[in-house]
Amino acid sequence: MLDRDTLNRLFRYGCSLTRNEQSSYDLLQDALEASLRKAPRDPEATVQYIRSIMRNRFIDQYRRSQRFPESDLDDTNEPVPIDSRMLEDVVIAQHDVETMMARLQPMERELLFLWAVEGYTARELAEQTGTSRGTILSRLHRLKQKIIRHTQADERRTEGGAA
Amino acid sequence: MDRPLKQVVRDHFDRHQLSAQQFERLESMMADHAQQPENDRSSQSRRHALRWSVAIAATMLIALTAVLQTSWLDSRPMSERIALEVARNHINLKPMDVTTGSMTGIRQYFSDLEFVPVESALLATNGLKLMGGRYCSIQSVPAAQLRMASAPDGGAVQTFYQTEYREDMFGPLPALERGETPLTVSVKGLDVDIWVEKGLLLALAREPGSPAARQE
Repeated sequence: MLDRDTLNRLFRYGCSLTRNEQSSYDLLQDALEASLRKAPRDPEATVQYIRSIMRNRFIDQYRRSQRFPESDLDDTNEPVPIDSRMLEDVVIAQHDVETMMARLQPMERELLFLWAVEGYTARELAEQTGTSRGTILSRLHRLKQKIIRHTQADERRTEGGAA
Repeated sequence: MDRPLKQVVRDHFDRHQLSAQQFERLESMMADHAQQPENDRSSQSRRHALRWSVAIAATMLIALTAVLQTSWLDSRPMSERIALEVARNHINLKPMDVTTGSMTGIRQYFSDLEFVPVESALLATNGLKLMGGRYCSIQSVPAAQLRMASAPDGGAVQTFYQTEYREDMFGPLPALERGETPLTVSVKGLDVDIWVEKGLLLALAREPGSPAARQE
């Protein structure tokens, strides 16, 4: 039996993929039901197992509806020598977070969630998402650039509007 | 007021909570399963075991095919493996990380590499126009992919790769400083020129017939 905190952790993970509470709940319910048939005994392994089911089902659903291109999921770029703490020095205004989330692709939001909320290292992110550490570092690098680029564009617009 | 991204993202997700009703539904689903008779579950387990056996047999067959294919690839000379990887990157042509027409812009962007991208003496006279680049790798060594057009107004795109030359990994390759000419490998319908210059392994992927990397 998973406790409330664990279910909320999984629910929030679903939100990082779908940006929608109802869709996240559906995804969680679906994955939880599937996991009951064969869940690992270790609680943390169970969380990872359910998260993998949620991720795979989400990808299946979106590939079927072709709502985002395959390249968002399968960027197989190999190792880039970048520090995995590269996102630590990024700052952002609290009121900009919704806009930022809306601009990110589902897999970018998932990466951000696993890094910020679950506190995973690049190696753990690689294990969790089934990719190489180099690819994760490359994605973190691009994610940082994207966030900074959008933040700066917003600041310029705000300054332009104020002037 | 600006705050660390990590904290802002945590606060954002902390706002999402299961409602009491949703939580009860999930809890009841777990409780129902826990009460299910053990023999029901063991017959389910047998069915799952059978499915898994079939899946494992299929996976082993696929893995065996992959291993045989990989050993065939590994048995190829290193120059062919480099050419094949470079050709794949050229064909995929993923979006550029940086758009710039100058080597200064390229050097500023690729600051995370353990070498500084260079201008090759072999490409100085063939009229290629620099467009930008992206991070990539050659045989798992971090590399820069520079993209070039063969005419000022666009034209055929050529991709130019640079990475640190490690002789223990890449083996002997023609070195410009020793007066040797690049090795050209034809793969996947492309010509790939490979050579060593200024301590770097350089590779140019181009369509057959377009100017090769040669000293005038």
